[in-house]
Amino acid sequence: MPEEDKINTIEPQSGNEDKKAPNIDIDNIMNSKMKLEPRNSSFGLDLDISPLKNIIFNFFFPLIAIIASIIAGIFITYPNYKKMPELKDTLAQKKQLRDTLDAKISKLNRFSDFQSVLDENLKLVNQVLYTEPEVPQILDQVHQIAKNSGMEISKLSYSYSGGAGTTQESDYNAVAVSLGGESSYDQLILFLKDIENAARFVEVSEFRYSGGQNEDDNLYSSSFSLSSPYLFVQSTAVTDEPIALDISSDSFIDFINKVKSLRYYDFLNPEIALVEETEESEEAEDTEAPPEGEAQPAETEPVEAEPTGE
Amino acid sequence: MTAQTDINLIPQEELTKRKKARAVKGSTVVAILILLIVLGATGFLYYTNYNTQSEINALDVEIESLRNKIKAKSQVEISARNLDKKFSSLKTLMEERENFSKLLEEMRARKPVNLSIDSMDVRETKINLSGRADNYVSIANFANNLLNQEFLEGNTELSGLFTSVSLNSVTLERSDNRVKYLIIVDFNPEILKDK
Repeated sequence: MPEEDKINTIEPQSGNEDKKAPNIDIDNIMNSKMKLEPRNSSFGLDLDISPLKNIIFNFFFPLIAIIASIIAGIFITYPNYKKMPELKDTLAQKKQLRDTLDAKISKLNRFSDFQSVLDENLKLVNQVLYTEPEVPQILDQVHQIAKNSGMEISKLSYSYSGGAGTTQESDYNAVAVSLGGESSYDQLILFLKDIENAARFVEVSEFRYSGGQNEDDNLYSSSFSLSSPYLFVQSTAVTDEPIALDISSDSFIDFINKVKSLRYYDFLNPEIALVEETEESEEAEDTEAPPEGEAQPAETEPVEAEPTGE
Repeated sequence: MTAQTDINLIPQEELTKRKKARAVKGSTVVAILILLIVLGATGFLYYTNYNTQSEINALDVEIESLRNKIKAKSQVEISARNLDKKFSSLKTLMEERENFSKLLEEMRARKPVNLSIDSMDVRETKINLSGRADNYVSIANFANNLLNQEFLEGNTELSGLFTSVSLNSVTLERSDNRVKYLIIVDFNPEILKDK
């Protein structure tokens, strides 16, 4: 027990004749602190909590302010602070989407105004890249081109195998056409040029030609592997996605002009013989093929194709 | 003169009290300042977020309205998308197509007169060529012409079309005293494309 906390009390003198003046130490009393609290806790521990109480009592407002600050910080400030970038991102995304949709609706309005142009362009493109194989049409086109270039056709057949391909935009299928015939070098070039300028898209995969029986006539036997892709598209309206197409762009106008400059072949011979090559016959043909450098015309049975009026 | 001495008459208890009061005052001011700063920051953040949220809500309404307008034109959109897909695919196909008519024309331009091509097999980037020539020099000239990037009689756009020529076989035919040849030519297909 500290000395200053002691309170000197004078025990009453009882039964003592020789009474003395009470010995009261005033300074000690003045300097001592009155202990109003019981010294012993109910648990029997000697805990003095009065300084803490004093501190709490004296610093009541600062403590409340600090606690309020902490609570506000944890429950309001920090969540709002954390939420802010998220909201900003959302706002930026919404703004971008709004701009995209805005641009899209402008484009769609423009397309609506030029609906006839859009339909016409789609029709033109469909005449170059068919939506279906339309084998008779492609065989007729090749037949007409070959005839127009002066080639004597000995074989014209088709197959679906090995014609599929892919572009960056979509996968497409293709009809593979085999053509055999006799022609001069000039006719060969003319045939290739016409194929390249024909409306329905045809690609020369490979070709070979060699001096045939009529060497004196300067005629060569030639065989071509052609491929004509077709693509069926069925788009769906995706509201939030922009439309890349710009019908007023230079590249699109150039492309449409190019398509318009291609030569369209009317379907003149609907009765054209359709000879489908199976894989077995192709394999047989490959086995019979001459070694490299000594290309020979294909020895398959010539397919009689109906003349187209020439 | 009597010496002056400072006598502190304030009792120690009073001094302690004052100190305590100062500490309480200072800490109260600091705590309130902190509280004010926190409340200020909270208010600012709350206000900013509220504004942002309001802007987002307004945009949502605008976006919904635009979506409805777009949905009303779904048929036009489908047509446009179909055209776009076809246009893009066809453009790529056209750009990737090798125009072999150019190759044949260039081959003819570079061929010497006293050399004939009897057969030609074109696959991917290789051409197997066979034929006859009057002499060995003609075959050598043909090979040189094919590789000559400054060949004047050819198409200047196709100057680098043929990239390599390898002579596979040369045979002198006794019957007509002509030279039979077989050469393999590599070409650059990119030059044949319309890009």
